[in-house]
Amino acid sequence: MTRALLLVALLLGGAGFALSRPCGWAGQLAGGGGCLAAFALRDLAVTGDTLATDAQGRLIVGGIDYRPGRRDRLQAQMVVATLDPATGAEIARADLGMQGRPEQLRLSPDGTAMAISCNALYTCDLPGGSQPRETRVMLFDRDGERRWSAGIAHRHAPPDADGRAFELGFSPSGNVVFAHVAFDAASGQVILTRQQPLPDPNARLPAGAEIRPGDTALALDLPDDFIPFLRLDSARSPDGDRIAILARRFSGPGKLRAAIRIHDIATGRLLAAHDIDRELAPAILWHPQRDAVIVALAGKPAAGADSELRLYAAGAGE
Amino acid sequence: MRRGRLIAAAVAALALVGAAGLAAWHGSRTCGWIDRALGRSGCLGTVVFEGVAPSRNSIAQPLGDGRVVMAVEMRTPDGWRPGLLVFDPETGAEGGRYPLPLRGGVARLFLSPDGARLLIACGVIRQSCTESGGDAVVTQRDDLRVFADAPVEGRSLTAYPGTPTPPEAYGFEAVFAARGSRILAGGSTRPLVLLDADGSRIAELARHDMSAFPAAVSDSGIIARGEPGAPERGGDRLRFWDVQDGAELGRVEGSAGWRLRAPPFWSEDGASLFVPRSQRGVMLLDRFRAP
Repeated sequence: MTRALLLVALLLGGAGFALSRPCGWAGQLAGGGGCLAAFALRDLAVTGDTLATDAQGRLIVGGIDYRPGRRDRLQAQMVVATLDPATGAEIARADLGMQGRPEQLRLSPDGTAMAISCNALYTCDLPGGSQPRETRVMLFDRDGERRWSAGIAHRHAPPDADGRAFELGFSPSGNVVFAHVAFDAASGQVILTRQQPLPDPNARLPAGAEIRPGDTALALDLPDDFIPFLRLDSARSPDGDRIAILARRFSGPGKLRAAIRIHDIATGRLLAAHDIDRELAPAILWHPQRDAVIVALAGKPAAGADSELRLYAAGAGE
Repeated sequence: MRRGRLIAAAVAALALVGAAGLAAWHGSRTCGWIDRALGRSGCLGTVVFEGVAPSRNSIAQPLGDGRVVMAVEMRTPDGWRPGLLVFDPETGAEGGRYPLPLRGGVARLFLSPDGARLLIACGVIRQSCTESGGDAVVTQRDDLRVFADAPVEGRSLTAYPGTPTPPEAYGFEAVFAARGSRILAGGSTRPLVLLDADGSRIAELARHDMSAFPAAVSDSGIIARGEPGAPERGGDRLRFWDVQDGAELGRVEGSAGWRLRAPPFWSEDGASLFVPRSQRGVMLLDRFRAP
């Protein structure tokens, strides 16, 4: 009898936890907090602006698979996972065969190649040893085979405090990779070109009382004690009319850890506001099919660390 | 049955004695509860800052309202990053953690004489730490979120640019003390000496020690320095001197494992000395009564 009561109490407690936790079943069903869905990321911690959508509308997630190394040290293996955007189910995973901290991930327009740059202050390891005076950029095929790798000297492209030295991008044709200079995507050679990079819907904006993504100033309306990182992450909607801004608390105590604000760019009108009590990675992406944005929980540097993608309503009917 | 109870009671008693011994040992260490209760070291208490890692460059700057600002490394969602920590050292109440536009490392802080601006400079060895490749940035005391590059001459700054400093002959560590009536020189590569304003030696306070922290001088006229203690003790020590004549006023010999992580600093009224330590990603700030 006692055991049965204990079991019932345990089940009720578990159900209550699952229902009440942020982005739990109850919250998702009721639309509470604006969290629409959560997709588990097994053995993958997102570390930068490494969320993308391929030509088939699948989600591409770059990050680190932390593995135990020698003498209690961790191996930060770089991996890229492909997910079903509807269910979050993992379709494929590519091991990039390198250690390091991916900072940007961009897909070629035809979706056959991935350009990845490393955080310049937490550089990627190379077989011949790391080169901390350079920022690494690499091109991979979708299976994770490296086509080429190059370095941009810090003296030519000094990294900012977040470790970003340049904006990574492809040309519209996909045959040029822009990483401070232009690289031939086929050979990795530096070239001169008249081509321009594709406009990036994801941009970083300087944090401040007002944000100016266009002509209209936007106010994020965050609590006074919420001190964000120096730069905010943003994503423009596919039609270009809206902008989602992600502000993350830099450090220290406070229940509010991150905030998403979605505005109409032309009028500045606030369309959706989500206050989030979990730490997030510096990445935000517009969902390829739903009227929602995707963010990633920050992963801890620990062997087998998991993470989670979360979908938040963009405020236009979801 | 009775024998089993006796064994259980003996095990419980042993566990209790062990726990009591551990608590007593822990409490008797520097700034432990027994040490504080007996007033042995003069420690008045400890406040804790989670996710904060000070370094040797983390010299606290008083903001004039009882709070101080320190440049430290902080735990963020992206890992450890340099930032400014504003806090009340007596209560541990935080006034904010601000990101720094620096490429890693911990910078040194200098408040302008009027208290309006805060200069944040790269370390002596590390250079070109700012995002634009410079050696320093400046921000406003009342808004630590906006930064501008600040040109500095040389990286061995000991005071806010433009404020009077002792002649170069006294070494790069020399600072004015006691409203300009004294010079405190040396400490790491040279002996720590007290001079009058004309440069006449008053006293040699301590031998040179690369592991010692820069000395702090209170408004009430006490010099404090943290330095390694005797090797057999396994802890650091604090020493105090009178800024007028160099007479030693007291010492605190830290227990084993009591290690300073950043230079000690005085409260604005000179009644308390704060000593930053570090323990597994946490900054501990011990407060001592002035001798």
